Amino acid sequence: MLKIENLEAGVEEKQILKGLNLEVKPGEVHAIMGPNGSGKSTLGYMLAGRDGYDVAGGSVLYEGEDLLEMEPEERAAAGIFLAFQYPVEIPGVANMYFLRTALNSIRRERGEDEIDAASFLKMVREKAKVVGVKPELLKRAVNFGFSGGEKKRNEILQMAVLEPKFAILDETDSGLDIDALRTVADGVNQLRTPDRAMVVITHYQRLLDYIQPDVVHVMLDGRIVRSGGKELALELEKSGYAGFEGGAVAQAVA
Amino acid sequence: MMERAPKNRNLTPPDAYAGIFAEALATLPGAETPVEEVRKKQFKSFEKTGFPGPKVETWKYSPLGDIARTAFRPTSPESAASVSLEDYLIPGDDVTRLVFVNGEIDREHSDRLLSIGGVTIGSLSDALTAGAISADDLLTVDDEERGFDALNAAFADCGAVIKVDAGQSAPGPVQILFVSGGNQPERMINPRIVIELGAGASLDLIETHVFGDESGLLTNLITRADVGSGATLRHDRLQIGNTEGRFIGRFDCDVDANAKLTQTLATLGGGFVRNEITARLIGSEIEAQFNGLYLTRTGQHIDNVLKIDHTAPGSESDQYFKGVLDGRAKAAFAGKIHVHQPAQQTNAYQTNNNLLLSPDAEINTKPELEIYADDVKCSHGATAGELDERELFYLRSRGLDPETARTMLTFAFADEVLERFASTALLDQAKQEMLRWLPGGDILADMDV
Repeated sequence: MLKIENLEAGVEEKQILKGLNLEVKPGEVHAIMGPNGSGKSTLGYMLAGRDGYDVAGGSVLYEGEDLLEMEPEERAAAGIFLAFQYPVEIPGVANMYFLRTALNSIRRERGEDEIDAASFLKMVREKAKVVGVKPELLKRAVNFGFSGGEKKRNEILQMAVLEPKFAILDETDSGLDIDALRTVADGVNQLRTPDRAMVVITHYQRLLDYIQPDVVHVMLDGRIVRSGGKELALELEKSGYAGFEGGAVAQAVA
Repeated sequence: MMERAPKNRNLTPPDAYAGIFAEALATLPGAETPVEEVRKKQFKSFEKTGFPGPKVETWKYSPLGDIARTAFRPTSPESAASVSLEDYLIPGDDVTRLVFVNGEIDREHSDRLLSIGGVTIGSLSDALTAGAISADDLLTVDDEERGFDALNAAFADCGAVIKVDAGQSAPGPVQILFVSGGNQPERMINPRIVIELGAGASLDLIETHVFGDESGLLTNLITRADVGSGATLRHDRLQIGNTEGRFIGRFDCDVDANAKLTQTLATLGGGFVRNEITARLIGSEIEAQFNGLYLTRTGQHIDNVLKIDHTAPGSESDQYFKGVLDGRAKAAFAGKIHVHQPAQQTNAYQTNNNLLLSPDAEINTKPELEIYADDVKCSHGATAGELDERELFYLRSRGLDPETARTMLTFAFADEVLERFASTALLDQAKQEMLRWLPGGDILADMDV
């Protein structure tokens, strides 16, 4: 579904991704763990199409297409979704309206009919319940005045409504208390299907107690330095990143 | 300290005003009563003072041009506006309304003099005609260097007098609606709003100015407010309509201890619009919030000038102004915070953020802090720029095309100020207008606002 080969990219003079390789197949959940500054969030932004990164080498293929050539909205229509670490506040635009505009934009781009208001309302209410978004938040402006936890749940709600094929969750667990974490994880788990893939970016092993990954990657200094099963996360929890590639660790932590 | 420019920097008004005034006197409210003498005195003062010239600091970015060169005449009663009033009236059985069309009271849509339980709400012309309040008290001039104040006092032809006694509240919001329209070249109205709130009194005032079809009318507004100790004044002002109307307004208030003043201005229409706000916070524990939004297109010049004086310790003021500028728009913002020596523990803040949609738009923003007390918290910040790239990316990553994303973020930027309106009905009107105004706003037309 997604194949990244030897990706080298950065901003201006600074190289952030230094030969990254990653392959994700339909139905798989991958976890990417790594310290601050290792390039995890950059990877998420690049996959979703944020501007401003210079690609020095390598390739990203999504369902056989060159992903890096596509605009962000084209990627959204093609089924890519990024749950932001810091979701944007949109005062004056109701959450419900934003969701409907997003969904209909994607449907139009795909050549599908727009969803009618009644079915949409019913669908959003059901999904909001599943991911623990309070009904009143649907009427409020997007993320405006939401707590940290409410913003993260709202990201998961957007994902549930837009039904992406490939979702990236960028530190969705940060700033969540244990109950919120469990609700978010339950929401994510409900969205696991045999044809939907997810990449979960996280600092902590904690989230992986609730979202069981198929593959865990350790990312250091712009590269994936080790991949394994979920036992790798437990190993990381015990020994930290110190055991992985001495030189790179020192550089990344500094 | 020299706060105002000397008079020789002012512009002499056209001679024709003398004849216009002599002729108007007989038809202005309070004719053949002692009001005439007050008007004559103020007219003399106007002739002597003239209009602020371009070298007067606060008028630097808003040269008066032909406004200072034209001898404006009062409107004639036969001129009609083709604006649908219903679009701008605030609904509700508890709303007291005063509606003026080209300065003439619209009796059909206006409430009669309300005088119950320590609350008096009436039109200025009724007050002047009845003579219950002396004209000396109604037609005051607070700024003697400005000219427009005296011009207004001489020609004051419409407006309102609102008095709420200590501990009382108006039964509901008060709306004063001014509509202009028809062909009004070289015509002016001089509305005056006088507000007196006793200790602990409260008032919600909604002021709407609709610049109607093809009107070149000049509105020269004076608002004088006394906000007593512990009183609450919530004042919304919406300026809406075409890009030809001209508006110069001064809101001058004294605010006493423990009072709350919240003012939200939204300028969505008008050609040359200048909102001047002067507030003297003369007591402690006052909370004064000043919000403003201006949406400016080619042909518009919008200017907001604030001066907040803290003269007593322990009060708080905040100025929060935002602008969206398109085409060859021009706008100016000047916010002054003056903390006098006794005003220790003052908190005074100011923000002016501008979104430039076009490279040809122009914003002049000038914060000014004058602080003589040493234990204060004051801050100011001004920005002028484009939409945030990260925010645009967020919306596009949800499937929105760039134009929709831009429109939505521009709407959100401006709406943050509108949401501060005390009146939700006014908020709805302003939001709808904003969608008509914004480039690409029709994309969001199906939004339930």
